[in-house]
Amino acid sequence: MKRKIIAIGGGKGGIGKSVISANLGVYFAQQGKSVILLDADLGGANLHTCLGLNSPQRTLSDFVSQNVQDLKSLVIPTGIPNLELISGAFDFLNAADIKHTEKLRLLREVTKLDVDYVIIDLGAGTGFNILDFFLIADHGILTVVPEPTSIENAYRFIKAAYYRRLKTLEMSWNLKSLVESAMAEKGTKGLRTPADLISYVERRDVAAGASLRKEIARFPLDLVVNQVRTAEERKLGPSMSEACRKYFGISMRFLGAVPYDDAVWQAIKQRKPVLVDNPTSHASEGIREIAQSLGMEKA
Amino acid sequence: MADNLLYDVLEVSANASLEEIETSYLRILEELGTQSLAMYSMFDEHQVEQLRARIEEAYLTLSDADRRQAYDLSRTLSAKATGDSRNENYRDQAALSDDRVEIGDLIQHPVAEVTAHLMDDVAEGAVRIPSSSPSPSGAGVRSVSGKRKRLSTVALPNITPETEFSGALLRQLRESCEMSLDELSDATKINKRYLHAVEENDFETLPAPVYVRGFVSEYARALGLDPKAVRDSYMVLYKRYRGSGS
Repeated sequence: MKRKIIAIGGGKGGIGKSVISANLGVYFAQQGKSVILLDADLGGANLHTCLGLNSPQRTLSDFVSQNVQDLKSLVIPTGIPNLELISGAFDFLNAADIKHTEKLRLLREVTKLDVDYVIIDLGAGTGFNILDFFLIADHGILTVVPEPTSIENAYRFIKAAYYRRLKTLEMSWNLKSLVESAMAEKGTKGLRTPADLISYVERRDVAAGASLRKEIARFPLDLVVNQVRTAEERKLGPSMSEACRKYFGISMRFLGAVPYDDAVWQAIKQRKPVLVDNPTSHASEGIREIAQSLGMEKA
Repeated sequence: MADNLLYDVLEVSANASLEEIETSYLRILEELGTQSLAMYSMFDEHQVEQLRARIEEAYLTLSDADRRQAYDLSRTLSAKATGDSRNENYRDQAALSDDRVEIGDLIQHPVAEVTAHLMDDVAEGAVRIPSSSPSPSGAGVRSVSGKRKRLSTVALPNITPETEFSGALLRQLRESCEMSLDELSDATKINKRYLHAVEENDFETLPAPVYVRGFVSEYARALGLDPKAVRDSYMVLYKRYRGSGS
């Protein structure tokens, strides 16, 4: 099967990205797929803790400091068959300030990894490093919890990711200059929703508008809602997906919700993935369903 | 301009009933109004106001039988005129999504501002929603509230019940209101080309009489003129050109 890169972000810290990353990895490994988990939360790495690995001998920091060429030489076993980790543990204090050229080298090497799944745990925030990792993914999963702070960060993340994508896209000269003038226009503070932008460009150049529309449609965004407690909160996923489509013109696929479950924090305390520590828990069920939705082709 | 725009804004199909339109309109407004968690921080206050104005504007047109008909007619004609390019547009739209609000339009359309003010005045009972019956003032001039200049306050050629509303006069009146052809096109939803043809008395370009009547009615309405008076007068000219009327 063709290698899939999955990136998990969300803008806000502490909402379960690492837990979801680790457990998705466990699920696919249990299905017999080869999986590499990559802890790209530079400066805030937690994956090794979620998996109960104490002192990784090799980490992502070595990629930079030891100028390691092949990422595969940095993988460590997790004790779970088919599942390996490139840890971010013991990164030096300025790990998050990775140099641009080093980042590009890292991104290149990630795309060369020869496994069934690469699952990247992104950090919190919307800095370029996070966005660039998100944008190399075949599936970019946005994680939210049902709180206004998380939703706010999620929309900020979506806008940031889409602007970043536009900036780094290969565009015809005409399209590029239209996009730039749209962003620079007074009164909008350079911020436009994707739908706005398409409208602006289309009105001035139909062909450029069509090509921009196609690019925006290719934005590979998925949504997971974590720590859901009520039926009302369950509706958040489809509602956000609909709002995104209607007002941003971005198709964000809702993958599923993970219920708030004591089993999760209990597993973390044990430093085990919940899929291993309590496979019949509601949270585990939720994560399995999400993994299965991922497996299905995008509608 | 996307052909289905007003129907898309209200999220109804092009042959929706009035009841369906009203229901959808109220639902969408409510959605925008409530502090729904799913849309928290999506828009700043200014954008919400613009979205609201856009929805009100669509409702104003689609809930009024005459305006809706004129709008539908102009859509059909635009579709025929642009032919292949429209199909391409639809294909791309289908790839993404068909019913998407083009918020960017809000920022460009001054008419949304006018409409927003109009809605405030309607709420206060100060303005009647335009109807087809001629106003009692005889001159066919009705006040239109809002930021745009009132025709009654502008120095105009003397308009009497006998005035022939030729295309040139319509243009003169439009310019007195400081309304550009683009703005008029936005207000009436009629393609600029046809409005221009009306002003030029360009009967060659204009389509069958039934369409022309609609265009002229909407033109008049947008200027605050009595649609019937203007239309009847214009059609006299039209028939004169066409020989025996049809």
